[in-house]
Amino acid sequence: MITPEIVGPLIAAAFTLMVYSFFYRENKAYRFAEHVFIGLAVAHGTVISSKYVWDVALSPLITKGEAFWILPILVGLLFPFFFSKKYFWVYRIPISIVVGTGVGIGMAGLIRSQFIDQIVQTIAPVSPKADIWSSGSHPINALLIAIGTLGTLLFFIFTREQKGLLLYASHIGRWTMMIAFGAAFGFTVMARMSLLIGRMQFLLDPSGIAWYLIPVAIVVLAVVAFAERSKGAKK
Amino acid sequence: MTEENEMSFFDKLEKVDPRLIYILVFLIVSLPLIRPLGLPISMSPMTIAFYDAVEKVMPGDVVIVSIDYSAASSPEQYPQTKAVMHHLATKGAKIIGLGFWADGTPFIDSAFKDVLGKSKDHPKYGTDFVNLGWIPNGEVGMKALGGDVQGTCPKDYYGTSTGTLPMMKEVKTGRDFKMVITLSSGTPGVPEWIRQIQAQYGVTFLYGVTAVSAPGVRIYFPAQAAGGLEGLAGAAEYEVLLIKYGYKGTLAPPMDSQSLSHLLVIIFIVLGNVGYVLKKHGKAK
Repeated sequence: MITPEIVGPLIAAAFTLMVYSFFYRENKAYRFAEHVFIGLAVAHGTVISSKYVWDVALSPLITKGEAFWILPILVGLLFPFFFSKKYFWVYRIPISIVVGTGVGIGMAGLIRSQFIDQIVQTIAPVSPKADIWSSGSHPINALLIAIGTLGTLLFFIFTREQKGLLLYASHIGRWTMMIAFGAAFGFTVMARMSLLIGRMQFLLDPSGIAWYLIPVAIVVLAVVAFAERSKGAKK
Repeated sequence: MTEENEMSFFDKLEKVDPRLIYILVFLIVSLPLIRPLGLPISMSPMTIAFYDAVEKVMPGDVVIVSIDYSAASSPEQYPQTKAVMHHLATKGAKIIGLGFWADGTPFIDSAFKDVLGKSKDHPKYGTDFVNLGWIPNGEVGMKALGGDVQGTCPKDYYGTSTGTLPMMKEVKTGRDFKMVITLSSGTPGVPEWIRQIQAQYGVTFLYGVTAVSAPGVRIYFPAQAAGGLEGLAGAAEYEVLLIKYGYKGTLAPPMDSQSLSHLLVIIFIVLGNVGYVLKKHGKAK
């Protein structure tokens, strides 16, 4: 019996394997999966965006007669002018409203939460009783934060020649940044492996049916590789 | 082994087919999933702080759970989502599920179904939890949500008028939120929530992020974010802490895969660097 519980995982497994076929080489199956994924994401975004516009603006306008929604709807209708060479300038009106609102709202919160609050935390009082592994208030951590922050700030002083004391300080800054980049790289590896693990967990789940497609994929890959090798030998 | 032999080994390694490395990675990741090793899972201070913050939630407290990730990050973040929902439900919190990423919206519904059995058909839908779905326009949407919840979300994910849902009658603005938890893999995410809700309303704020995002958001802990789950490891640690609530996690075998794959990457990095140094040394001679 064909049910969504069977077909769904099989389609998901097939697309996963199509994407992973890229590891062998660029191919049409991979391209197909890539295009379907992008198409689905765009379609989903379009549908739920339309639903939101209907719920928030169009429905109150039509059913309750809330006329002020006409204004944002008209502004929204100016976006497609992006595709017109002649009237491209019209598109700048909605985009300037969106960017201006976004920057204004973002900047207002940014000054406090990401500038002042961060400085306050950097110079927070030292507490010998704080946990050394989790708190920046522990004396050793506080010292490391002070040295690292000052060194990194001094690294970016370009109006003076970096020599003498400034050179040593900027070296500390460079090492601090290198350690930070190393940590970021480690976390990136962890994230990428997690994505692979998630898919492998899905494919290898013994209670599911996705793993049925793995031998099929291996056979297809072997046939393709053998055919290519034979073709190469004939040439 | 002579130095020449050593050099030829590293020369060969340099020219190895990358597909062999892919196969090795696939095997290293797959084997612990088939036969788990049971490696220990250590606790990070961020996860413990996250757990402690949720423990302080009292029955009836309104908690926002924002799904700010897409399908691409779901292997890392969906386990976080399920564990968070389970913990909040156990504490009797009133959960408002919503999201600022269009692609992430279906995960709110899935998480409710996986944790509570049902979503909109659940007898307690509307009284103990709601799904407000997607809110557009990122940070501007967050600002609007804090100012007027029902104006920003006039209908829930299933088309019901938000004002008719019993638990939403008391939730008007950001001041009515007890806690905000974002499960985020990018923008809008942690900084935007801190700017528009945590800093504005003094709400307890927690985050769950992908491992890639973790170094960038750790600066907010513990002053602006009371705790955080970082990647698959954070989710696995949280699952361990939730065992006492009967939560059955699924991340012990994946963490074995994670550890082994990291070991493999470390071996490759060491080999690459040793090869580089030996080659440079050989050229210098």
